[in-house]
Amino acid sequence: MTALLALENVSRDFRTPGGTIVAVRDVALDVAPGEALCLVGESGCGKTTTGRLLAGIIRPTRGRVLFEGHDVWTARGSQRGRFRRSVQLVHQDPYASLNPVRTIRQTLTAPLLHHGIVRGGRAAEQRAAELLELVDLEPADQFLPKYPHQLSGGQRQRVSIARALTVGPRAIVADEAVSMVDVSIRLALLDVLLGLRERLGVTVVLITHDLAVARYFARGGRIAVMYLGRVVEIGPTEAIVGAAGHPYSAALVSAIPEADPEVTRTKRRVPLRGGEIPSLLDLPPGCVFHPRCPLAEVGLCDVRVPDLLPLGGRAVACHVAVREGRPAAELLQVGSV
Amino acid sequence: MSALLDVRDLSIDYRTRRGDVRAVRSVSFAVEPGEAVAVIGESGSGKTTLAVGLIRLSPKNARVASGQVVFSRNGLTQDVLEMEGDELRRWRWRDCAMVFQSALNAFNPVITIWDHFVDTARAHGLARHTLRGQADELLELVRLEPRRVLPAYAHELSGGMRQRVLIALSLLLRPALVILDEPTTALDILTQRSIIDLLRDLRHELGFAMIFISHDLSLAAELADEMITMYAGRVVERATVRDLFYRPRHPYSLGLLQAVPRVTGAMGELGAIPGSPPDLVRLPRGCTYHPRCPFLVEECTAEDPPLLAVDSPGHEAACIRWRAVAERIGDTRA
Amino acid sequence: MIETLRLITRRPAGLIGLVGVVLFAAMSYLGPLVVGAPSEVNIALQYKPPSPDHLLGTDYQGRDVLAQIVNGGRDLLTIALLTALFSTSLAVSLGALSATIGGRFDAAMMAVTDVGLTIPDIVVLVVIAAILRPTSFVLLALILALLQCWFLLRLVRAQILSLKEREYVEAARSLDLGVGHIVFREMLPNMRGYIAIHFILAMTAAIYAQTGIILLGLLPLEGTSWGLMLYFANSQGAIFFRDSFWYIFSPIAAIALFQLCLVSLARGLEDVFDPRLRAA
Repeated sequence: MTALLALENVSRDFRTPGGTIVAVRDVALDVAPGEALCLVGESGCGKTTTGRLLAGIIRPTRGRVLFEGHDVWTARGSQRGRFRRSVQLVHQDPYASLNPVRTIRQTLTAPLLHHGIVRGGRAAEQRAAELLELVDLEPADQFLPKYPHQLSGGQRQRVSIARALTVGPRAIVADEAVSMVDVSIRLALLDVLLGLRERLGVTVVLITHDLAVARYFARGGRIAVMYLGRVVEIGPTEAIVGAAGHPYSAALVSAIPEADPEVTRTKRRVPLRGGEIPSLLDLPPGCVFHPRCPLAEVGLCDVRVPDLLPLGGRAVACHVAVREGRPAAELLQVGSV
Repeated sequence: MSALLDVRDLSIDYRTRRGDVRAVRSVSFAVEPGEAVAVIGESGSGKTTLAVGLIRLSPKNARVASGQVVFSRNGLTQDVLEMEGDELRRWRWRDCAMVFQSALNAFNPVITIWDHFVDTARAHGLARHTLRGQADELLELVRLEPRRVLPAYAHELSGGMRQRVLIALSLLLRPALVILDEPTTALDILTQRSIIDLLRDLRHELGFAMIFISHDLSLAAELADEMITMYAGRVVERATVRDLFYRPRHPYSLGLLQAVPRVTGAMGELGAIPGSPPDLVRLPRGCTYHPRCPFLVEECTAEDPPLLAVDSPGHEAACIRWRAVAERIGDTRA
Repeated sequence: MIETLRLITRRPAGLIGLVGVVLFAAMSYLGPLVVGAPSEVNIALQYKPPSPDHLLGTDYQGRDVLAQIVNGGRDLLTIALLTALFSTSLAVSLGALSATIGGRFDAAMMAVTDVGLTIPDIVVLVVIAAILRPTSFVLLALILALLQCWFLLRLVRAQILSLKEREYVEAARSLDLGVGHIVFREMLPNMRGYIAIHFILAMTAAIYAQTGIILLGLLPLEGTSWGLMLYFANSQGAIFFRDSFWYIFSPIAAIALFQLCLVSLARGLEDVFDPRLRAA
């Protein structure tokens, strides 16, 4: 089955006064229709850039972005518009993602009317109400006449999702969509996104730095771990969380504080060497993780860039793990199993 | 031994366009010397108002309506809310320091980190000639390289480094109490880990007490001895960390625990808390949590329950249905 | 509409401004229908002090001053309104265009704007008026607009450049809503406050400019206007007459009061366009 969305050896550079930053380097990613995929990583790893590449908001510097097998950026006018509408981005900041001087009704009906999805104001309002119900904002007529500042953060995010749904997208990329929302309602928002999969068959890609959120969202699905512009591991969620293949993933899983005193005070941590994360302007040679990696081997890891190779159901970019045929979590004796 | 800090019935009001809002309502808790207390709450809980209120940095439109904040050290006892001028300035930083969130706006963008040390020292009467040595020592204590960090500007440092600098600055006068506001929010996982470990080690070495304010339960799980959860300006539960995590008695505490997914171990029962945070201008009648509470009965709408002692020592919850909560968890000792 | 009026009048400044502007407009456009054109020349009545027949006295030709005041606002206001209309339209459209097209067009536009901003308005106005002797309202309004629009143009451009990066604008682009919608429905409504206030201030500037060139005798001297009254008061030596005070004072007061009302109205408008300050 053709992937719905695919990144083929995609790289994206940004020019800054300090030099050229390679935000995303040689990323190959397939998103299957109806899947729940999570991109996880820390700041500077390139996950947001990858999300924007998937949504067609920015162009790749190298490589191709494919939608249903077609190259998005070589398509003509109306084709390209159709592709762009097929993948919508939901932003992180609920305070900035809605126009403060437009009511919810105006925000939702504009795309419906502009693209002729419905005819006439009344039909547009009806459809807007239906979309609000899809994201659990009921009763809809209470929300339509309001301005964004009259809604809570969680409610605004739902409106953002409803707005993304107006043009009938095939996929939604949610960039840290729950990070700025209260803890107690994050799960509800994630459930709304997951619900879209079931009810509408929409594929959802969630970008987050929070592994716990990733695990909840992508259970039964896949997680891709990114570090300094590369995908270092990709595979089924439980496999990665239970026994991470790449030492960086293992470090993340072991480092994350958990909401359980017993567990978190006794968890074994992966000892990382070295201090700060390297700057994107001055990347280490070979495997970009090697200066901090406890498994790093001189002469191997500081020389050759590892490829994403299969390892026990996942794909892992680590010379040592792949060679040993065992996930890094095992080699480092950490992990929840 | 009297508590280091004893907050008694503290209430703080805000004047807003829509009327007066009581952001902190009759909050009481105590911090013993060397103890770590976590104040957990979400938006509208009043936790930040409480934190800045304790160190007397509230904005102009905030007003302490009632209560006392009693500080005891070396046999001397004072009410922080009564202090003014020089006395307050001496207390601040020498006895109690605050670590703000590491966002860029916690720093002056046009001066170097060294200048921040100088300013802080000058404000609190520290001699200049010993300052360099102290700054070096403190920065090494927080695992930063003084030579690299002191001449830098705030925007040149990463979030984690900035947080460490703020911690170092707070320890300049070796206070007995450090208040931290959202110390790990907006930081990456590995950076959070290093800050948490740092705080744990520093506490062990220097023995100061900590109050940290956060919405992040896992931070409390890592560092706290005692915990309080706040909702709509009130303390709704107070307990030891183990009691609150394993034997919560207030529906909001339970709701919070169930709303936070885990990475390792079983997923457990998960679900968001229905509804939205309360509007502090128009609070619900009776228990402020009742519109969202699965244990609701008629009596809950009558009045806001006081903190009631529950079934373990030093454990209190503001809920008349705490036994039902205990049953729900399967704790049969209730 | 009711909501808008309520917000304007919430501040005392806004209330005064609104009432004042409405009164002046009514006086200038409807008043002449009541009071009639200034009376016939009658030298015997020259510079008479206020009396029941002539509430503000008479001028150097014995004509009623009050009638002249009532008649004197119309031309001034009309030109001011036209100027504000042209100025605002030019500034908004060119500013938006410049910000959205970018590139060399934008660079050229900015160069022109810089020149426009540094030109001393009064000097150029005097020169142009002296050469062209404009009689048409529209022409005069256009000239005044061209001298003034640059500040708002820069403001609009800067705002649009900034708004371009906002997430809701990015979302609108993703939804393929088209440049027209994005500029006119998403971005410009965020600037309504600036635009409305500029509109009013453009009017005040136009009134000053007109009065200035009339006083210098550069505009054709027909009709009645407050500025003309001042011109004649000056050229006919009214200051030498003891009872001519009201003839000199009333046009100055009319102009000053009207300007004050306009500026107060602008103050009252500050709250109107921010939806956060409307009823929650």
